[in-house]
Parts: sequence; structure tokens; C-alpha cells
Amino acid sequence: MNFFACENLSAGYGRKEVLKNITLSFEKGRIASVIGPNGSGKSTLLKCMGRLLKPSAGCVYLDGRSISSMTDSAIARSVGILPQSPSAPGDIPVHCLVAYGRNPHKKALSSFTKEDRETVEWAMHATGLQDKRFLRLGQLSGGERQRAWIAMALAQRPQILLLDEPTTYLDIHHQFEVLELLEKLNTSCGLTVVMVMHDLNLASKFSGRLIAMKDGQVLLDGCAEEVLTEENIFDIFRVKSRIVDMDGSRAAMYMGVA
Amino acid sequence: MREITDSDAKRRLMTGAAGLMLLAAGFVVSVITGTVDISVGDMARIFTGVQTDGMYHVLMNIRLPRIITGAFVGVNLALSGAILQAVLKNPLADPGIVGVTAGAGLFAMAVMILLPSFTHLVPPAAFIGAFVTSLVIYFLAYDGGAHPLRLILAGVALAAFLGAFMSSLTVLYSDRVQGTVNWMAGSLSGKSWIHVKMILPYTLLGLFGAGIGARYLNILMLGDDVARGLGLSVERVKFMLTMLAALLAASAVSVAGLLGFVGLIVPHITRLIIGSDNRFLIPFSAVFGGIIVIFADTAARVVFAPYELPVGVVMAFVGAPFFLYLLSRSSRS
Repeated sequence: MNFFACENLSAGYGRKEVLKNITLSFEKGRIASVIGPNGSGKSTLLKCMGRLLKPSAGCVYLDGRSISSMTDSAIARSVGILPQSPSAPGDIPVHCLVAYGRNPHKKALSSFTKEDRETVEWAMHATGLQDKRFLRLGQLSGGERQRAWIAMALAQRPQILLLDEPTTYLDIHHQFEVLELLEKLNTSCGLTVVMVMHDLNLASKFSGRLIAMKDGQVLLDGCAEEVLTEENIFDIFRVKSRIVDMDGSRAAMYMGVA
Repeated sequence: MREITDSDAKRRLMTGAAGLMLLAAGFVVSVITGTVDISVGDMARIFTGVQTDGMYHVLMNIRLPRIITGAFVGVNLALSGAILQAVLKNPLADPGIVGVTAGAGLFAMAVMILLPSFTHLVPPAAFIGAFVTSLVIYFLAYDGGAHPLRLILAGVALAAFLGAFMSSLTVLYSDRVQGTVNWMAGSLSGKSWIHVKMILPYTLLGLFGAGIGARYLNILMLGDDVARGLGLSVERVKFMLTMLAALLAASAVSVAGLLGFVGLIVPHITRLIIGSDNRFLIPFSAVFGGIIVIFADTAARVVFAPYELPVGVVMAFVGAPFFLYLLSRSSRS
């Protein structure tokens, strides 16, 4: 069932149009990755879907309702979004950051309920941070910090999580840690994930669907076997490559631009 | 693991207790120091209504309103600075950045110089000047959202522009400048119960508004995108909190003149002690703001007695070196 969709979406910054008439729909409980070269509109698409950016034309639909007709907190109860490398004061304890995720469920003066506490507890367990709850953000490793941000978004109890390059600046171990966490959340809680990825091989390993963008348009949309081919990679990135299929996942070896 | 939060709570408790004790001490010290000697015993007798001589007049009608006005001015400026530092995500932000100083300064100076027989209009003029200027800066900086850097740049530009008018006034009416000096430096001299009544509503509004706003300030500090992702109506919240900060600072300068540095250093010192969580930073800043102005004003009254310094001068003596220390610290890290 398609519960999240964008229709004829165009957007840009100032007069520069970055997204051109994009129509996409997302099924519940799947992981999709948006790939493409720098400036192709991946992050802009994600921002529009998470209503961080107002589209110049078109609509984003959640369960058949246009999100422009919904309040900020109503959207936030269904859609979680994490921008690329978010920052926060280094002295916030992990459990406080995660508790901020309850904001869309709270009114101005309402107190922290038992349900809020249980949700925060669950989010910290789901991300394996239960032993780090009293550590401050500045004391965590890069991977742990990213997990803390994901825990905050989980505490919103969203149906869909939008992530802009969740593995930037992380070493390969921490990249896998974050992506395996998302995979686990996807299988155990049915969380729908749409993420912008730079690493094609990680994107192919962890997502059932790849959406390749170029010049503000969707060039290709399908599973890894359909999208990751030598011709396609050359079309999208102008890079020569060889495709390797191993243990059921597809990877590309890059050979150079010349 | 557990100790970390416990030590946090402990530090907050200790700081809170120390703050309240300092506030009480500052109050007593300020009441008993001055040209007329009042002992602690006199103070107790006056407050209990036993003693009603000339000393009663000095205490109840001169010192007490001045101390209370000073405390409220400190509370308002500190709250204003704490809010702005969080909204603008800039630890060096203070009420001057949103044009409060320049606007209040120009309007008050214009009244004092051009309409010298209407000095009772100085507080409302300063208030209007401060608030209108901060509104103008906010709308000049607004472009699909109030970006902190644009706000700061617009503030600097408008302050320079209004500063040119002030300079022109001082040159063209150099004979009348003398009367503005005390006000421009920030002074609590001669404050009465009228001033307490003028500022009290804003202090109450500020404590209430900032108390509710603290939670939103915490979320704003995560960045606009994350805050919006958490369901915060970012632009509306920013606007309301900035205007609250402008109101607080405007009410403070309208009674005490251009008192600098409180809004900058008080939230900063407080943050160094108890951390960046606004739920604690806001109330603690308010207490420390009151304390610092009470002590600074007491020093202003007695250091060069029988001459009195404007309290702003004392604040600058303490505030400016501290500001430089902050700059050197932030450039190193």
C-alpha cells in the first residue's frame, strides 16, 4: 500500500529550480535509497518530503492527505526526518536528546507522562544506547551519536523515517552499525525508511529500492539489480565500473572517469 | 553511569542555594551600605514597623525601590540575553544585537536633547524606540525565515545607522549632552516605586514566557531543520521569543538607561556553571542577573562616595574584561 507519496513536486532555492516535477510513491515497511551525483536534488527531495522546504509546485501526501494541510506537530507524529550531520550542544545527555523526540506529542504545558518515559526507554533500547543514556553527546563516538539522533526520531513514533546521508563522516564500522540498526528497525517494527545515500554499494546492500536522480529528475527507479548496471552508473555519475554479484548482493567496482 | 545525572542535579541544587543566598546577601549589603549608615538592626526594626524616623524614609523610599528596580532590570536583561543566545544560536548575542540599545538610545536622547522639559517621557520613548527598532531589524532580516546571521548583520547595520543620528545630535547640541551622560551609561540613581511598578509587569511576563519557552529553546538549539522535524513551528516560536526578549530588554533600558553587558555575561556565566539546558539556564540566569546588578549598583554608590558612578560603568569595568576572556576562550576552542 502506498501511504507516502509526492506528486509533481518542484522546488528550488530562490530562482534556481532544483527539483523538476517529481512523482514518487513509497510503500509501507520498505527501505528506499535515493542516489545521484552532487546537486542532483536528492537532499532537496528529502527536505520537501519532510516539509523542511516548501515546494514551489506539487504536493506531498501522507495516507492520502496533503501534508500542507496538516499542522507541524501532526506531521511530526508520522514523519521523522534527520538532516545531514545534525548538531547539538555537546553537554546534552543522551536521554534528554531522545526525550526531545516526544515534543510533537506534547502541548505547551503538559508534563512528561508514563507513556513518554516508556517510549524514550524503548527508543534507547532499540538503538542499543540503554547503557549510554547518561553520557553526554560530546562523549559519544560518531556512530553512537548518529544512533542517538535516530533514537530521538524514533521517540516521535513515526511511520516513516527520512534520513539525509546518515553515514556521512562515519568509518566503515560505524556505517554498518547505523545501517544494520535501520535494517533491524525495518524488520522488527515495520519502519519505512527513505534515505539519501552516497555509497552505492551500501545503498544496494541495505535497500530494496534505489531511486537514481540526476538534474532534479528521477532517472531510474527499481531494485539494485535494475539500477546498478555498468551503463547506468556511467549515465548517472560518468564513472566507468564493473559490477560484481556476490552472496546475493550487488556491488560496483569503480574504474575511473577517463 | 548514574552519578553523572546525580552530580548534575547536585550542582543545580548547590548553585540554586548559593544563588538565593547571594541574592539575600546582596539585598542586605545593598540596604545597609550608603551615605546614611543603616545597621542590620535598624533594617529589621524598619521592616517590622517599629522604627519610623528619617532612616525609615531613606530605606523605604530611596534604597529599597532602587534595589528592587535594579534587581528587576538585571532579571529582565539576563532573561533577554539568555533567550537571544538560544534563538540566535550565538553565545555572544545580547539585547544590543536586536537593536534595543540603539533604538532606546536614539529615542531617549532625542527626548532629552530636543524636549528637555519633557524628561518624564524618556522611559516610554526609550521603550518604544527599543521595541520598534527590534521589530524593524526582525523584518529586515526576514527572508522566508529569520536566519541568525541575517538578524545579526541587520542589527549591526541598523545600530550603525541610528548611531549616526545620535552622533549628529551630540555634535549639534553639544551644550545639552551633559544631561544624557548618566542615562547613556545606565544608571539606577533616583529610582522610585514608580519605576518598580513600570518594570514589574514585564519581569512577571518574562519569567512566565521564558519559563514556558525554555522547552522550545532547547529544541531550537538542535537547529531549525531538526526542530521543524520535531513538529515545532520554528518561525512562529522564534518570532515570539525574540519579541519577548526585545520587550524585556526594552523595559529594562527604559527605566535604567543603556545598561550593557548584563544580557551578555550573565547567561554566559550561568551556562559555564550549570550547562546549556534552558530549563535551568533561564531561571538561574534570572537570579544571577538580579544579583549582579544589585552588587554592581552597590559598588557604584559607594566606591567613589560621595560621587556616584552609573551602574553601567561598573558593569563595563567587570563585563568588558570578561567579554575579552570569552573571546579568547572561544577562539582557542
